[in-house]
Amino acid sequence: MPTLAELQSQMAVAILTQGAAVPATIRCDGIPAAQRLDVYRSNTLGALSDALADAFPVVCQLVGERFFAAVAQAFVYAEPPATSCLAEYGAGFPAFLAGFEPARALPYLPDAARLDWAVHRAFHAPDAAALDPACVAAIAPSHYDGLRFTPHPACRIVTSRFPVDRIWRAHHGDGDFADIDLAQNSLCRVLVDRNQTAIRLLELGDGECALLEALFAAQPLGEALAAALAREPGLELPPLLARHLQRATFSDVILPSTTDAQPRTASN
Amino acid sequence: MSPPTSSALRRDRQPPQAVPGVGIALKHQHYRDWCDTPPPVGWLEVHSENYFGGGRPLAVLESLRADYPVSLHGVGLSLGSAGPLNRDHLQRLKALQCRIEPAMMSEHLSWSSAPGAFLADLLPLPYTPEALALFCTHVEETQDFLGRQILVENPSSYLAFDHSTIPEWEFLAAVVERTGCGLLLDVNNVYVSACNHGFDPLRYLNALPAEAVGEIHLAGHSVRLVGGRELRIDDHGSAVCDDVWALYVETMARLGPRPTLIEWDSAVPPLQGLLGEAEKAQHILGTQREAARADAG
Repeated sequence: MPTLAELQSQMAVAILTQGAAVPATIRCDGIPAAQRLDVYRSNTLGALSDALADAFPVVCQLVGERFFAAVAQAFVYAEPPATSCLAEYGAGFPAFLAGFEPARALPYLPDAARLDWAVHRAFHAPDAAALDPACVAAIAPSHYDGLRFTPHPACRIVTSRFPVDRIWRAHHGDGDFADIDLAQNSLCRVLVDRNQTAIRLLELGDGECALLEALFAAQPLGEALAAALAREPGLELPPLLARHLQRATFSDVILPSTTDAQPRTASN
Repeated sequence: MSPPTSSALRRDRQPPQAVPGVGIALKHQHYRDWCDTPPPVGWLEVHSENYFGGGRPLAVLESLRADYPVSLHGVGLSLGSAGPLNRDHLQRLKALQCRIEPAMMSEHLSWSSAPGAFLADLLPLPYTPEALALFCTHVEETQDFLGRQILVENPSSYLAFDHSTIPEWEFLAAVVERTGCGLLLDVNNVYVSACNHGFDPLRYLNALPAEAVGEIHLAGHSVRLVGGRELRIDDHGSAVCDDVWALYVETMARLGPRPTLIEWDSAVPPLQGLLGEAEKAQHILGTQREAARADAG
């Protein structure tokens, strides 16, 4: 007889692999064991496909439900969830779409999926207090270059050479599909976040996007500003910083270490 | 009532905080209805994992907990998985417990995770001494970590194992006996499994320790032809069927009134659909209370 660990491992493989052997200890009792296990496979595929459809609603609408069901199933077999929280399943789906041959004709699909995912994660992100602008105002200017900002957990930046933000808005009743021209110079640079409970998309300027990308990657403010100025010479930092402090783009700021080795956070 | 914290208290098998009558599942499709016009139900239940994040779901639950007792019903902890419990999952469950202060918390007699994969379903255990020992260890660890009793729900299942040696009802009774947990008796699951495996549902009910049952679940199921035979599938996608209502009446007659929940997880109808089912259950509970009073008088 298999141990419990062996049995569960065999069953997981049998459910997640087409054509895999069915554990011999499953009792037939009038119905072939493989068909009994199929009920569980169908439940697993159904629940995980539903979770993906929930996370990628625009992709689902772009390709239609039947195509989506097929690609979702292929993804579940390729990358089953490691998390027991279904709202966190699907991080790898945009990259999977990029390599999914039948979706080749829609080159913007992976980026539309990245935007869907950013919105989904923003919706479910943990609650966190915004960084108090007064904390930043109290910091001595000599520390500015070394400041590291912690992004609010709901904030994500999405960039694309396709207008996936306009596609997303049109799918949400804001704007007309007829006005979207993929061939036009239609770069997308957006900050996705949530205001209390509602999702917001904010269009970012070129330098602003570079600044936030660097800050979100934990680079200090001095380096982030240099990256932003390289992209957009003449960029003014104070109004940008004020705008993002006001929007709650950050949840904390870490001061550069001075005499002690440990960084200090402003909110402590 | 604050939850018992010491192991000794827990072993007294105190019933979970009493909740009134019939509750319904809180579904995200109904958030607006709940907030606009609080429905006339005694309590509500959510799947714990859907509230592990923040934002709107948690904000809605936090606002409703002021007016309704809440039951946190877990579908992802996987008490039946071999190997250690998922501590990260437990931590997140505890954080939610601290924030919501639920009246009841429950998990399943099943497993959902194997190394490297979460299967998003409630899979059946082989009912062996090995599985019983493992499952009891995980229930105790969970109760110790949460500092309170949990309820364990009987599953519905579509297959059984040749090497199972313990009937499901005896397995459940042993879990209660060894861990001091309570039971969440899903009447629909008893019916579904009884049909699928050919046992008498009343025998199942009679074998359970009645005093341990802290909550009842009612839901709809579907019938599918598999391998030329009918299998009943617990999909929570329809109204409760007549046979399950009849079994619920039998259950209440045996146990006395217990907090009862209407579940609906797929093809979710408008809120009114759940409220109609709740009214039926409330009517049966009321009849049962009157009968109990008449007996006492």
